[in-house]
Amino acid sequence: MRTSLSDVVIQVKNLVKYFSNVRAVDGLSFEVRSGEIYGLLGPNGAGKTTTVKIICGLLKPTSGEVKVFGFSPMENPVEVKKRIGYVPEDVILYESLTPRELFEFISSVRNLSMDVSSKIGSLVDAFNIRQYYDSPIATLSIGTKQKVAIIAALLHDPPLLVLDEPLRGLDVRSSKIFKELLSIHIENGGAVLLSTHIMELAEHLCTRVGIIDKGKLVAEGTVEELRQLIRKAGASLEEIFLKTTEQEEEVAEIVNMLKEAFGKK
Amino acid sequence: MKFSEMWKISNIIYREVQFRALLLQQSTVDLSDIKAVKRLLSSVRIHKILMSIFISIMGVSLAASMYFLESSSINGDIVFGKTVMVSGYFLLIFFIIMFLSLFTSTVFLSVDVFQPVVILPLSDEDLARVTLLAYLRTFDIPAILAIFIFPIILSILSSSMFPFVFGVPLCFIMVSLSSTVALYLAKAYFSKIMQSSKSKLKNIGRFILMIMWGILAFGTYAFGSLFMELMPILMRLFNNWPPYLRNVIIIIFPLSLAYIYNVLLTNWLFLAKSTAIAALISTAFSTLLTFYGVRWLMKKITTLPFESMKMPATKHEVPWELKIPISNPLIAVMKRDFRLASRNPSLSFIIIFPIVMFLIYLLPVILGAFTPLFLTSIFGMLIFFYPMFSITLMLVDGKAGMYTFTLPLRNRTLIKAKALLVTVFYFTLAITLVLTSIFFHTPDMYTSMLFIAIAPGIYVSSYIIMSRMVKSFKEEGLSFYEMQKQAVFILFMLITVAFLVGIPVLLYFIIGLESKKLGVILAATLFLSELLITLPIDNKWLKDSL
Repeated sequence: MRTSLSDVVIQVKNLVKYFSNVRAVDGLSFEVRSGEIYGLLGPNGAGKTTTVKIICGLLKPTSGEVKVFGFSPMENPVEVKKRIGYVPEDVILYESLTPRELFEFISSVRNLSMDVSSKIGSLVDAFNIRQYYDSPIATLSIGTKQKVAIIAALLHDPPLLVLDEPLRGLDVRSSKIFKELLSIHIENGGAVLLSTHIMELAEHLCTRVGIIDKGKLVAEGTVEELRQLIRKAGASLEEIFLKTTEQEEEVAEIVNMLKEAFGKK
Repeated sequence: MKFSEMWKISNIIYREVQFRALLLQQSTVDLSDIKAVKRLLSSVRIHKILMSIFISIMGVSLAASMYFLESSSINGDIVFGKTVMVSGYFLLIFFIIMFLSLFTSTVFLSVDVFQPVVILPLSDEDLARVTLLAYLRTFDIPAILAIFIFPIILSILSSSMFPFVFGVPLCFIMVSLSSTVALYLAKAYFSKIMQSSKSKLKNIGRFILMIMWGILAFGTYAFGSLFMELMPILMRLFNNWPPYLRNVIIIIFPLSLAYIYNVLLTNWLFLAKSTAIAALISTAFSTLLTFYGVRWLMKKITTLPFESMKMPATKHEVPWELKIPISNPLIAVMKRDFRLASRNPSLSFIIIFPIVMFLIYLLPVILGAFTPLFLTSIFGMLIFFYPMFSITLMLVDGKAGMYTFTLPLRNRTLIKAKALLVTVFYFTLAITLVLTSIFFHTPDMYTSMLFIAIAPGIYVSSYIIMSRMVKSFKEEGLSFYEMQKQAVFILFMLITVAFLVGIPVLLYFIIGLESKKLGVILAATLFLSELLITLPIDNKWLKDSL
């Protein structure tokens, strides 16, 4: 199922999504290629999660075109889901199942072979959750639940990982392991679509970044390309983000106001 | 702190607990839908009012029936007849209070509902009082009605204070014991049911506890709906037994309480001393049990805010073996649904129902009181409930339902698995009922065969109902929870069931007047035809596209 380097894995063209009268996604277009981590950045309510859900075949777009490995998530959601490992923003798993039972269910639904057990073993030990393997998910901490969701997304060795805020609740050790796993995935020719608020993560991990605001793509490129775009050498991704989403001045004003209100008198 | 202030604060905890308890029962409510949340909040009040009305009606009607009960009408001892009637009322209030407090008790123990109150500058004593008040509020009006309505009505009718004076303490015992048992079961639910274990013995224990839990929760409905049918059977049974057997039976709770109540209201000098002593000992034991039960309950409730509210500290066993069995997707969905249903108190009645139905079926069979009318009501319940389980199985995913949709699972696989699971549940019950019928020679062989013949009809109707649910979810964006409340959907479901299951069963009963053999052959042919028509078209019916 692996694709060759620089194959287009995700193709989004003029994507529009309305919720009642609200335009959540407004003519969005971008591509994700194999062998790259594409970071989707944007403020709250920018349309990131909506876009991710449409790509994963969970939401129907109002208009526009989406292709994942050449399949339309609207017409062929099953084929798309076979090729995706998805970690949702709000990890809501089956609370009364144990991780063992969840992995059993997912592996069976995905028609995986018995060999998956050895992969589960490696991942369970890598994320240090062996002791929770037979405990109901309800009894686990948020971070452990997140680890379970990550392992569940990796079981079938998907060529595309779609990750919506994947580091939520993870400890330093697990974050490091997860980032290393992403690197291995990319080296093997896989692709990643990463939706996140954590600028440092995007800055260090992403091959390319797309910044969306009010459902529109306002900037796209490598971090270096984006620095050139705002004409500020050495700018952090946070600065680029605030500049491109036109929040820089607003944030500065708020900081001044807070200094006045809470600063030492 | 003033009582009025404590009352106000307790309202916050009470409302939160009620809300979460309803969420526990209706786990698929979309919390982002403000209207759905508001409806859920208002249903807290409506639920309580309905229960209060039900208790009032049952209390008034049973008190009146008891007052006008003549020995000629029961063909036996009037005191024993009235004992059965009063114990019926006692059991009814026991189940209702249990039903009202079971889910709320679970929430009291399981969720950190006290967090907003704990941070307030309240003394430990005030916090304990506030918690107790919040707990009492969960069943305040129904409990007051349960304690007072029956004795008051009986006192008014008999123009005497005694039914009130003797009745109130006994009803209080019932209500107190009921809420204590509910809290104990809620505690057991979290320490046993929710804790999984690799030990087979522990899992068997967990399953038994889950069945007990479900029977008590589901028993309210079953007992309430069959109350009037069971009452004459029990009265006849009781009066036909020899005195020595009565002495043994009278020890059983709550017959002992009811007997003592009737002895106190009757001319007790003419009653058998041995029976009265047996009942008295049993009542004393119940009173003692209530005393210690209430003491435990009070201690447990008032210390709750100071305990770790979430789950009890879980001992995580480190497994040696991480190997998982792989099955095909159909079996995987069935296994998962069974696991989820068996661990969710609001859904476990799918598993409990066959057990309760079997017991309901068994009682008149053993007592020789099996009538065609009873058989018809059994068929009615089966036809009504099993397709209803389709909805429950669609709700089984709860909030994690969205996670299922991230997997490459075809709609038809999902629905086939769920319809098959409903049919497996039905088939297990059908076989049990047929074996019981063969053993007791009741009813005839052809009617027994009809139980099995219905199975394909259950599958087809479940399949169609669930297909409609998935289609509405995809096309109209309706959640399964919202769907089941829509009049159009309910009508669709009823028509589907009436057409696909009801009509063949009705034909059996009509043709059966002439020839039962022909009736069962015709019904079985119809059910199999439904299955044969549905199987080839399902692939086209349910497309996976969005």
